[in-house]
Amino acid sequence: MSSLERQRAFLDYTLASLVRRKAKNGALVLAYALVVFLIASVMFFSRALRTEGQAVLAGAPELVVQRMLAGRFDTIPASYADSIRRIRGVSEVEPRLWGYYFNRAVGATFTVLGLPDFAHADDEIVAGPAAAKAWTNLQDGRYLFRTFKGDSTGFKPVQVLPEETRLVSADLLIMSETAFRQVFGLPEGQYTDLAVTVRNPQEMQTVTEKIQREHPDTRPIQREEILRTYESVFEWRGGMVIVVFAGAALAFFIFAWDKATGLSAEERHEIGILKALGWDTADVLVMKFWEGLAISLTSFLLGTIAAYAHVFLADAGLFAQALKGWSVLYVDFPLSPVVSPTELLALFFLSVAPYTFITVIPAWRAAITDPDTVMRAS
Amino acid sequence: MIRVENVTKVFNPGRPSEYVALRGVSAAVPENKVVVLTGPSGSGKTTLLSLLGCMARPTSGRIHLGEREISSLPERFLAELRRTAFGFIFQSFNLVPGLTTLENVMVPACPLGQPRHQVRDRAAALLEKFRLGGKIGQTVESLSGGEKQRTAIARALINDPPTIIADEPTANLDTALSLEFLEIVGQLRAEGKTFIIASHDAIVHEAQVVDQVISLRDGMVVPAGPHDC
Repeated sequence: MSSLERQRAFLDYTLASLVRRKAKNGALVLAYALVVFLIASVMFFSRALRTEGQAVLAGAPELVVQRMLAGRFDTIPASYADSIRRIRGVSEVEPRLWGYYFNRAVGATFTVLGLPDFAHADDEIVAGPAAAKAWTNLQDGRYLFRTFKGDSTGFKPVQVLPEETRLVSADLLIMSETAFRQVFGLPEGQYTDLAVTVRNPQEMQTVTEKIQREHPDTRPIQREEILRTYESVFEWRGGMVIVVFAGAALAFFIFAWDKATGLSAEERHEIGILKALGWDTADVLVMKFWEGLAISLTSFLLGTIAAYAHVFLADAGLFAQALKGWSVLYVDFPLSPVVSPTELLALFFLSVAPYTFITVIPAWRAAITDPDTVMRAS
Repeated sequence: MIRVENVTKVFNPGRPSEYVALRGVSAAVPENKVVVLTGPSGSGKTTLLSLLGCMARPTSGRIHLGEREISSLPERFLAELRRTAFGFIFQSFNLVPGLTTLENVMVPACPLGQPRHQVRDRAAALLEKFRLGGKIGQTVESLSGGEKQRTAIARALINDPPTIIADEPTANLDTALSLEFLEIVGQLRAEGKTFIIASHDAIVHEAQVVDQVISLRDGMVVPAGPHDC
């Protein structure tokens, strides 16, 4: 007698049992897999976005200083950069020029960067891969911009940034500082913000406080703060979607509970037959355990694999917009497949374990009755 | 030898629906014999059959299987006896719908943990023996009454138990099939099996193959008479 053969025999019986009620069990697996698919999709998508966000921020400045005017962002004078550079602990201050440009013809917003040491001419432009594809209003092969004065100016595309950089450069357009000021009307000596590098990361807080003391009209933002904001935004959005899906999940669990707790007369009779034929209560429970596990595990695997394909191969078409938030130009890049083992394990236990156990409980109730009831039911 | 001593079985004791099914019944079933329990409906045949087959426990009294007293054994030991010492044939066959003939015959062997191919071969051989070799892959719903009966017999024999317990085995069969069943009983007795059959079918308890008739009325053993059938 082998325990393995015994389990195999029970498993064989279970699979044969499931196949004979294939329509009912198939519908159950599909409904269950759909719930797992929805939850797993949100989970994969949120995790991937968070990871992408962290990757992007890893290359971002440790400290960004913006100037505030009447509670709103304003441009920051170059003189601020000089005074901040003199603060002990600051190793570098880089004034930056960047902004957003809404292209009405395309119906999309692009991020525009002005570089003082731009390697090309003032009437030339470098585009990110998604921006290069999206920008369709060309004249004589030049990107047309409407300047702050209302007149048009064209830029000759000289380079498309490589695909590998698309995570950070997808909707990016890069031009010279002169061209940037010309398009947006930004006066000389004024910048969008300052990127500050601190020698010792431990002194970040002290440097931040010094900057605020010296320039009370500024708002220094640490990279960690941005990271926390991203985290909370994704948690919030993911949470909202989860709440919506929780309704579907709840409906399913009520259905599953009803199915699992209410053994049909046919199922109770079958348990009676098995007991009369020499199965003991534990054998019936093992068989029901395999049955619950087979249904819930199949659903979990189907739902999880479908969610993986949906998020990482099909760009999460079903609810990407809800999770990505506002953006007119939808950044066109596939998410890096990132799966958190902890989250996956949690989903496994939340989907497989409850169903398996709620299947076993009613079977236990039926299995502890004397098998002679089957004789009387004859 | 299976012996019951002064066995009483009360259902729903202490409730308004209390019902005494057996009252101090004593009887013995010798090895390698065909014993028929007979009596009118409600006489206690099925209850006594359940007690003999370890499917229920008596309220009082003792049941011996050989020298072993089995009436007070825990459920898991009774289950073990049901799968090793007894084979069961039920009135409406109680085959598991949706499963094939072969799968049905293999069901009692599942808890034994024997290699699958051995169980499969044994089940196939039994089905062949009962002229069901060509029906191995068919689901039991497609079988005729006689074929279902023979499948149930094959299932009862899969674990090679010494005793077969049958509850009204001919109730759903016509005369020809009932006689065929009794012929099989005779063959199996010749192979050393003991049969305990509950039946109020005259064909059964008047059959030549029957060695002993235990007649029941109102939960008690009474001398066998023509009105009991």
